[in-house]
Amino acid sequence: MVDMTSDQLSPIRTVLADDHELMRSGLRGELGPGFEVVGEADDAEGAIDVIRARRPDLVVSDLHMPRGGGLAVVEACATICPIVILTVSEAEADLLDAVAAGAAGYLVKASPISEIRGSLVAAAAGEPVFSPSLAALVLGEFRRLARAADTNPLTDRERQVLQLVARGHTYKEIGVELDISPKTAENHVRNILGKLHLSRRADLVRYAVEHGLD
Amino acid sequence: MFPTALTAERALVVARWLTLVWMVGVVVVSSERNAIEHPLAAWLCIVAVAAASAWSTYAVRAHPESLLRTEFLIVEAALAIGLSIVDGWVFEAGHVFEVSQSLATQYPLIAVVSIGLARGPIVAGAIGLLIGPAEWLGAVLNEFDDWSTRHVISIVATSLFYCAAGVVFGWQAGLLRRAEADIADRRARDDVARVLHDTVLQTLALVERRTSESDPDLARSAREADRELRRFLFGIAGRSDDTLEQRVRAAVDRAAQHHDAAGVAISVGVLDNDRHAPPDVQEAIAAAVGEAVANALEHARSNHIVVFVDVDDDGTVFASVRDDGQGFDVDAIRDGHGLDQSIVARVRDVGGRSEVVSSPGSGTEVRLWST
Repeated sequence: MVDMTSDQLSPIRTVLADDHELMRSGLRGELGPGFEVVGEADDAEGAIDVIRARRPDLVVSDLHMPRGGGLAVVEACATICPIVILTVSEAEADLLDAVAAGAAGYLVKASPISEIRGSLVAAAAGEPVFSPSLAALVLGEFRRLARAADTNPLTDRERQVLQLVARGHTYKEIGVELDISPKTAENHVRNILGKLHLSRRADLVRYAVEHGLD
Repeated sequence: MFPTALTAERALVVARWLTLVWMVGVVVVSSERNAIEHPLAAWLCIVAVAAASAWSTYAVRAHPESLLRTEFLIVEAALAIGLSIVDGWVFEAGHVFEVSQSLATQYPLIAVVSIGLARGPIVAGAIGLLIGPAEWLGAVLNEFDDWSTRHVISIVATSLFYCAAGVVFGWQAGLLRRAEADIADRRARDDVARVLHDTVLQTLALVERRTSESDPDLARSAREADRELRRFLFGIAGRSDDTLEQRVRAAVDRAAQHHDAAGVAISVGVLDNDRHAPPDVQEAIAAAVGEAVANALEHARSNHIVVFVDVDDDGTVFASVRDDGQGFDVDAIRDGHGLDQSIVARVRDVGGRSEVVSSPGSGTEVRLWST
């Protein structure tokens, strides 16, 4: 990940949502001059209000917060700006829901700050923050869907790309390995995320129909 | 006292009162028919059962633990045996072997259940065995002298019945006690996990991150505390029923603890696929992954190590350990593949294979297959 914070013209206007004051103040201090924190919230409703009012370039949101959590923030605001989920553990069940709902990706709280900074800059530029462990989670999710529906929603090529991301390869390396351009590899990832989003929605619709909700 | 035991003790209290009502009914009706030869003894039995009922009613509310005490259990056993003796004696001779209503055949059942709950199957079964001889003694005291095979079988059957009841109930109570202890343990752990997750793990994550550049020693301590805590909370310990994911994570954690992992992000992705490889294969792959991570920490000078483990359709476990470190020239290594011999051996022992892909400046990937 390229660190562009130094040669950035205007800082990235960021909203922080975390119910732990300690976490927010820590992050605020660490982000450095490349970021300008334009709003903070300690619950999902507050975050949604702040994001709608301030229209930031980027949101960094905790997964577990009172009144809705990160998922509610993503559902309400994913079209306004990229939202990166910050989590303590990648084993959280709702993490995939947040990504499927349109989060730009997620970061583990204990990651080194240089990595967090780099990922946030990339996310603000519209790149999905697609870490290897997220790719593994997504791969597992599609395997579950394939088994349930008896058809695989992913093409063979998409599966190959996803597995290589899960193994820690960069788009450039994937391009070399599969003899495609890095851009094509990135597009495959975008399509995979789109399919994840669709399949999760289909799950919800099926659930709603089965349970007589609309 | 575990929750089901308390429920059982409450049921026993109700059963004691019902037995008491039954006894009063039997004695009143039998007296009217002049079937009772020793009414005073019968009424004394009723008083004894009433006392036991009243005391257990009080105890189950105030201090249920006392229902498990030896003193009370001796009283229960004495009541069961005493009532069985008296049952053969207060009525006319040979009553125990008649189909007519008995004074208190329910009480021995209550006693063996109560004893089984507190002392397990062996003691309860032993007390149950004494009920037959008690009935025999009652008949002898009543000068019953018309013994035949039928009577002996009746006595033996009584003993076996109460013994079996005591053993079965005592055994089941033991199973329940262990199951409930497990559940309680897990619940307590979940509660602790929730609280610690929201506070301590968050703080450790912050410390780890803020100090990763300024104070690597503190960052390493925080990381170790974080891993220890997770291992405790999420039960990532070496048990035989561990999943592939738990084994891999434990092996990676061990590698990180024994090498300088400060400033190195290690991410682990395991697709737990419901396709179970044999435990020795899982363990071998996990150990080889751990060694590959240790190698990367020791030699690669990388910032990020990615562990990925997947199980194929045919049950083959595939694992890759990739670092973004300095890499090396695989062809220049003397033994031809540049892979640590301990990794090769571990995988080969379970019939698997391994390879390493690396070149200077572009990191290293160790690939392992279980077949």
